[in-house]
Amino acid sequence: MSQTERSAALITLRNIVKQYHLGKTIVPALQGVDLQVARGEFTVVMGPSGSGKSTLLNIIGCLDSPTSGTYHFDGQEVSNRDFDKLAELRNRKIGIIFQSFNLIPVLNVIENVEFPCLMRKDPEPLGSLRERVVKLCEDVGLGPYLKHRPDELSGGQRQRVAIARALITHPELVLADEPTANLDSKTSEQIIALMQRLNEQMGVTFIFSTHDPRVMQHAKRVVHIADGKIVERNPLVAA
Amino acid sequence: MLPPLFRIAFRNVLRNRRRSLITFSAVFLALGIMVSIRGFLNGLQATIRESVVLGQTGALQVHRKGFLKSVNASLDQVIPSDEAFLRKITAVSGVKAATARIMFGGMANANDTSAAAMFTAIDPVQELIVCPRRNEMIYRGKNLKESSPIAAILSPELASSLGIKLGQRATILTSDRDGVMNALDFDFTGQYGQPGLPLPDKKLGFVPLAFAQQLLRMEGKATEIAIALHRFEDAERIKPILQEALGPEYEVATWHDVAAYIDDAIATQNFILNLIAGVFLFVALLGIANTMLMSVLERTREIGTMMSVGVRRRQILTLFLLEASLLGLAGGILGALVGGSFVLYYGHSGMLLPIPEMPVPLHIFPTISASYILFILSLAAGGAALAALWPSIRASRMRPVEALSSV
Ligand SMILES: Nc1ncnc2c1ncn2[C@@H]1O[C@H](COP(=O)(O)OP(=O)(O)OP(=O)(O)O)[C@@H](O)[C@H]1O
Ligand SMILES: [Mg+2]
Repeated sequence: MSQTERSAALITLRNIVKQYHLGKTIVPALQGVDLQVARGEFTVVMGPSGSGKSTLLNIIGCLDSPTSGTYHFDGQEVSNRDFDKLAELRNRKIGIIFQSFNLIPVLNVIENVEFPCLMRKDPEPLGSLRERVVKLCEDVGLGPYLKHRPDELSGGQRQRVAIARALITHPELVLADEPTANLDSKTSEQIIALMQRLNEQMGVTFIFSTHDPRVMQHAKRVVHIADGKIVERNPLVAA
Repeated sequence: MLPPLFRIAFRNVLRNRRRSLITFSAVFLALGIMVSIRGFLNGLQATIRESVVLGQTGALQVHRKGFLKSVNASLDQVIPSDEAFLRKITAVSGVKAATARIMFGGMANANDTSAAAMFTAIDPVQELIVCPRRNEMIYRGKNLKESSPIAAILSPELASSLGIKLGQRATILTSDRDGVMNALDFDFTGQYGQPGLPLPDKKLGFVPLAFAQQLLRMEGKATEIAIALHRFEDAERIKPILQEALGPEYEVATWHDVAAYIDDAIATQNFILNLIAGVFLFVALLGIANTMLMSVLERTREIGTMMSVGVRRRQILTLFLLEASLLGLAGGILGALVGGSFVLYYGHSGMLLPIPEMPVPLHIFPTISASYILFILSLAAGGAALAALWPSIRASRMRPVEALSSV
């Protein structure tokens, strides 16, 4: 591997194995995954249900740790950091978007979006933060709903809130685990188009998973996964 | 602008209205009851103290040194009761009045029956200045000031064992300091019973001081001087000053010293109050623990979400502790308000407490101190946080993936 490749890679997974223990049986969710994702990439992880997409994204998002293998984020080993170090990493460098939106129900749109920034040890001044939040919300099409609580929004609108929340911290990486699975196809298209636009405008690295072949066409790069292994690498755009 | 965790905590308390309301009510009830009972007891204890000080002991007492330690009311240990000696006492600043007494035992006789009894001889005029509540000691009949120099007040127990009625005559037989027997007739003019104090089941009698001095052949002498102060709270302060003024052959005691049983009774009451309050508070705090545990279980996914955006463990812990404290504090404030209003209302108008066998009910004025209210408010908030500690720690220790995959 050349030096340029190394420095361009935002994340590097080597021989990642993840096993779940169900009673006495061991469920191999990931069986030796090697993956590099370069900065600015828009990568789709494709695979059938149960193939290990969520497991992989959870490990990349530092929500879970691998059974074995190494994971470097931005050139740094992360597998052996403690909870608060990982929390800091998630807070500053990784934005995560979920299939089921996962907004905080008692907070309105603005409050949900600004929440990650306010949880920092050194939160930025509220005035400038609010300004950024409102601008971002308007940018993702939430302008009219700033004061709405999650239960007053449609699925597509909720996912836009989640996207704004993932982006407000200026992360290096945004992970989205089947972000469109709970949305109808038209809304799905819009959400994917939005993520793509943000990827292009802001240069944020996106990794998202799906088992819907229709969204493949948007991807610059598709990684196929089956039975916990990457079966085919298809870099449409070189890093 | 509220800090974000506080905002979330506050809204979550409001979100689950019914559950919050139940928990809130438990804390409210506990604190309301605590404040009310404390206020009532404060009033009752003040009344009891007053009854003792203003009706029996006076604020300070002077005896011959050793008198209080002797088992029997001994006539050997006498002190002067003359004007000069009393003036030495009243000269001390803060002293309002002083009165001499003699405590002695004797046989009361009437209708060919006799009964051993304890007598207290009092100065009919001075006694009412030092212990004005003695005025109310007459359950039936007249007090000594209004009666003849040979009048006596007897406890119902003594009167009935002698089989005499008010207005009838009887005799006291006793021996003087030299062991010489002597007897004098008296008229039974009043029946004894003191408000605020339990009706004595003992055989007691009260006679005029001069009568006793003649009977016991101890003119100008007494066994006890009872002293009223301008403020009875000054007793401890004035005690050493008076001791200094009188010299070492005498012994000055405060009402605490001579009526230690009152302090014991008050301590018992306080213990019972704290026990009851503790049980109520414990139940309320169990409610909080349960509420918070349910909340944590219900909001597992939300906890996972927070962790996914980089919230630290300590912040999750803070959030749930904050929610519990808010519940405890809200219930506590309302409880303190309602209990406090109860105390203020009755503290103003007074509360009549009927006592069995007493002709007049006790008049009680409940009071409560701001520091007690603050104390139990912090107890409610702090206790709530403590009760929520385990659920909150549980929440903060969750693993992000597991929390996120809960339904
Ligand atoms: N907590 C767990 N305990 C045990 N086995 C698990 C657990 N989570 C996932 N698995 C197993 O690991 C494998 C991969 O699961 P994963 O959720 O990563 O699949 P996926 O590709 O995301 O599927 P889907 O498209 O249905 O979301 C599956 O066989 C699954 O049953
Ligand atoms: Mg999945």
